[in-house]
Amino acid sequence: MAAICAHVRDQLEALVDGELGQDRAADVRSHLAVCAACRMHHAEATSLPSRLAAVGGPEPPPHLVAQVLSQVRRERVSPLGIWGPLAVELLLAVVALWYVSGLSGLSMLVERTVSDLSALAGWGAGDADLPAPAGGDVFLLMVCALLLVTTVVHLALLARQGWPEAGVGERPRKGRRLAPPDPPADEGGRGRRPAPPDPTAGEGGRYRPARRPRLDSLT
Amino acid sequence: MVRWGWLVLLAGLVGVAVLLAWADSTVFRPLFPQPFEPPRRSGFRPPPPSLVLTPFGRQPFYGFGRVGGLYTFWWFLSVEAGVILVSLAALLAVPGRVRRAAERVRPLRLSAMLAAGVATALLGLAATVLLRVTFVLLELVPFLWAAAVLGVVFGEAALALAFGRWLRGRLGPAPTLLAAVAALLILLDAGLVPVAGWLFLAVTAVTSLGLAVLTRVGSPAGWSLDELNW
Repeated sequence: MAAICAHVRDQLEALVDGELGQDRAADVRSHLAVCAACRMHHAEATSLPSRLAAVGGPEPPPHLVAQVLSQVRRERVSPLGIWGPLAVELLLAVVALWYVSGLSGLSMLVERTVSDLSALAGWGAGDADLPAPAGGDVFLLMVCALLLVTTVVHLALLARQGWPEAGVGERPRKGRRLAPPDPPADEGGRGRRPAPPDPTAGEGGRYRPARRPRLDSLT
Repeated sequence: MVRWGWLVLLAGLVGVAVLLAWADSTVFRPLFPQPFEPPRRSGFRPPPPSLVLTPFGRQPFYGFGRVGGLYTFWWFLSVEAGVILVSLAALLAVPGRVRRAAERVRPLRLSAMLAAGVATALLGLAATVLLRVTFVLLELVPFLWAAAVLGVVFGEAALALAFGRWLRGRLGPAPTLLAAVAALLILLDAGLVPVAGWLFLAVTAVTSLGLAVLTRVGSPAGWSLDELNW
């Protein structure tokens, strides 16, 4: 491969991007008109897959796989976490049902609630007097309060287990870090420079466009 | 373009629904004990025969009383159509939230959703009793029940969307709403199976409620207050 060919191929990227000066672009085009090998490289450089490959993508953080796996494991809810508190709740519900004489008592409770509501609505409309407050049974209220607290705690546990916390694609919470910081430039991290062109590549070697700088490295 | 298979499936599901509603309200109804006493109203008079409009004539529904018979048949079908329409309304009103909730539906998580639904139902009952005695907060009870019903509807829509997506993977491409309607028809047809259908519907409704609660009605951040920070 002639030296002029190597030089032209180094500038193909800039030519395709329109970043080459007019004089230099004219020189490169004139060489392309006479050199079939460089023309082939130019055609490959302007092809869409090659351009997409040149763009590349952000490198994944080193602990991405471990984080995803831990997230998946966290989403698994243990049977004890699901049904344990529910057993307590059902026990409380059975006690409450027993105390109000079963389903008939429960339906009567619902009917009285609806009746109180309609009486209150009638008072609001001015059609009736203010109804008397419903009498409360201390034991039933205690059981219901305990049931309320148990169900709220149970739902909080389920919601915590059932919804991933700050993870992939989500904004990290304050004080938490999803991934360690990128290594410094000399360790091949953010500031890694594109590899220089392989001078030993022959005429038949595939065109390797220079990797574009990543957007996050520009900031 | 919709494949003919989808149209045949929908037509078949509607036909199965009609058949199941008819069988449940006529053939199977007397075979099982009535869970509730039929309503007794003084002075009730059955409508004159000339006003009874039945597509199959009077004979198939004759002799089964008010629980069972033509009214039950139409009740089944109208409830089924109503659930489908309301679920589709949820899909059209809040498609993004329904989709986010549907994305959370996985077979392994259904048990957690069922547990959350049971816990929410018990929470609603306890809250109703406690709110009733406060008297001042008694007005909140209808809103509580309405929220529970809306949660069930939202969860049903999300389940139908997820199930419809699964059906699309098996039967081929189809519009999303069409697949969701097919999924809803399958769920409701299963609900029309005598006795076991009621149990299935109850479990489905409670699971739907749990799905709505666990996903905070399809909220992007779930149960998190991060959205308050901007």
